[in-house]
Amino acid sequence: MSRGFITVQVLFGLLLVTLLGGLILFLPVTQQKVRPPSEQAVKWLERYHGLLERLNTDLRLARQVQVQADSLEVTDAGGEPVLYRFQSGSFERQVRNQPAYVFMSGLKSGSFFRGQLLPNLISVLLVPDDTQAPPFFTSFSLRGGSQ
Amino acid sequence: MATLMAQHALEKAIAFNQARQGALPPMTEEEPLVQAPDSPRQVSWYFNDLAGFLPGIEETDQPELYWAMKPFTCEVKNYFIDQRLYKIIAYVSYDEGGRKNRLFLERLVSGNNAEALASGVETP
Repeated sequence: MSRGFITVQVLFGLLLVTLLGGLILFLPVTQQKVRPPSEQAVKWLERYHGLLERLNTDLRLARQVQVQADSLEVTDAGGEPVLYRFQSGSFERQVRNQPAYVFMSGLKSGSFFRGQLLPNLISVLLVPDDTQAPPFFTSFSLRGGSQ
Repeated sequence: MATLMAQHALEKAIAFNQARQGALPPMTEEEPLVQAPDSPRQVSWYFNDLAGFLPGIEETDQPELYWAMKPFTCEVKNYFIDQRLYKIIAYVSYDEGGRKNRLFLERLVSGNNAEALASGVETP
């Protein structure tokens, strides 16, 4: 039995076409909202990744730590001291008697903090000169080389 | 940035666990990392005592860090695994293009009051 001009199949067909059209129009709108990070920001993040890995390894193995406002000296179980230092806009890592490796330059400030409530927590804050670049801030627990 | 924040929260939980001889670190709900003047929400315990500022940082203390941290929230949960073993998970959430993203880092640690966790008691 059929009644009127539009059959059920045509109605569903129109509905499907409308939904697909809406989806095609909607997707680019939502994708435009997510902007990829700038090339400069990606460069900073790559440097941060390397630094995070290095600090994680050194501080996990640390037996002794000396924290100053702009430097951090870490000594592992073998007595090998590693010095992290902020100096003249650069952040360096130096193992005893070896030339310092510059992790990054173009920094406005670099600071180390020991937790006031948890002295076994060491935090590192690096602020780039470039105001568009994100700062580096994270912390590391001292485990006495156990984990 | 979210990874760095999650690392901070997780490491603070581990530091707490070690400093208190295996005590469970506090479980927290989703809370901001910095205090917003227009919001009554309290700052996550994991972001107090930050960069030399005991109550957490304010805009005037470290403006670059304050604005970098402002979009994020943090939640930390402990999950009982075995008699003396539990898992800490630090979640960091942020909005990007109208979508909520959530990143987490987890670590297994041993604890001496895992029974309290198993019975649903949260460490203050």
